[in-house]
Amino acid sequence: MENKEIVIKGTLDRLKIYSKPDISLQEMKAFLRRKFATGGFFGDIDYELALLDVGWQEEEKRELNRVLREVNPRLSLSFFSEDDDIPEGKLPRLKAVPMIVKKSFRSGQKVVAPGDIVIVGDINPGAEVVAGGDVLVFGRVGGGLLHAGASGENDAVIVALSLKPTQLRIGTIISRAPDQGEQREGGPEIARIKGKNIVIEKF
Amino acid sequence: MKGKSIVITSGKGGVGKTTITANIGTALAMLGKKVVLIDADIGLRNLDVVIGLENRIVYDIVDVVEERCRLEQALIKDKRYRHLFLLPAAQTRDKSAIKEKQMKDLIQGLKESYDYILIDSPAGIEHGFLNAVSGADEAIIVTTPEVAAVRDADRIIGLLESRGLNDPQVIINRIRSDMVRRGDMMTIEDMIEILAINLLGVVPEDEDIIVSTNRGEPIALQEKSKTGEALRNIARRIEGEELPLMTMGKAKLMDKIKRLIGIS
Repeated sequence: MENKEIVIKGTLDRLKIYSKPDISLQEMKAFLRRKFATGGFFGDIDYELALLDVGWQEEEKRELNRVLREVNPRLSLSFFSEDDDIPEGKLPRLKAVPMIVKKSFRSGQKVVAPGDIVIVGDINPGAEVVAGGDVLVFGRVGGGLLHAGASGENDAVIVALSLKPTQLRIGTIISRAPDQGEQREGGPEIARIKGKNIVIEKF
Repeated sequence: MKGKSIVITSGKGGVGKTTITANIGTALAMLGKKVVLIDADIGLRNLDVVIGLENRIVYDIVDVVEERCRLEQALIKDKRYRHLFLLPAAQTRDKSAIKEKQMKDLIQGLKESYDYILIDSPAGIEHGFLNAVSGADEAIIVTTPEVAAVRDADRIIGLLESRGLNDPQVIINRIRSDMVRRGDMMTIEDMIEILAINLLGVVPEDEDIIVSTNRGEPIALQEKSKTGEALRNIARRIEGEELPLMTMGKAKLMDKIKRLIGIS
């Protein structure tokens, strides 16, 4: 599913793309097209994008930038070398400014942000919330898809005053509502990963 | 294997395309067929809810055509029948997210490994409808016994012909035998005369349909339901069986007498 030879990581100020050193230009072009097209998973947010320089020629760098602009005119690609990279394991969580939205999300509406998302309003079935960080809903989640830690952070959490979504995703883990109507009490709840599952508890 | 792709369409909204698609799909799976249901109503998806698979959606048809996942990853296996699959629509996009050629290629690929590909068309005659019919070998038109629905069905038959989809079949949905008897509703014969196409089946109006669609459990699964039987019969006719239409309840004695003395 995921091309593990190319990894995207959120850092302080930008999204970094890491790849194995012998990646081909074709593979990288295909990856950029797949991941960053307008309307795609990473396609609807504003951020800086940096690609690990595995020895790309100037010509190839221009080509990659051209491909990226083709699928998403808002983005451009810079390059970084491993030397000026923060050591592995110490990558700080993407600390973009939290996005605060004061409205309810209806079916077909979607919000995507690289950091935390705070929603003052309800989430209806068919709506989507995708955050690089945590998702906090000061309102009722009556359905819809909530995704926290969307760039792969398994320690992200989802909190809502009432939490009954169609589907929850945290980091790389997906859980869905039971098929028969669930009989949980209302009240504020928090969803987080415990072990290999997403667990919902009173908040 | 070389499967058959069938689009279920109507022109008018609210006549029961999605419910019929979910039920015929389920009924074909009950007959042991390998079936894929495609929701072509991008931006207003419902088929996933009606068949009870909404909470399992990870990828959708737009993810497939934009190559964010493989086709098999987007196909959701039904809870009850392992040969029944749903390819859901995207909810946060619109009809322009897919082109006719992409739909055609997608269905062509599915025909290699499935017996039936049922495409649930959106209402209307615009881009979404054109996408839905673009990969179809055959068409089923759903209509209700209302003048407006029959008008739209007639328009659709013409549009399908102009795209080379000849000889569509019609399902008449939500018929009320009591109203037909009183002469307050168009009869099956009236409609067939106007549309001049083959009748594939008649489905009675039934409150239980509302319950079943809300629960995400197609009524075709209910052994004892008359409506379920009508839908299962349609699936068997698609399979080539020759089945007579069900009788829709006996005419009441009082109605007969009223008609005789001319007060009905």
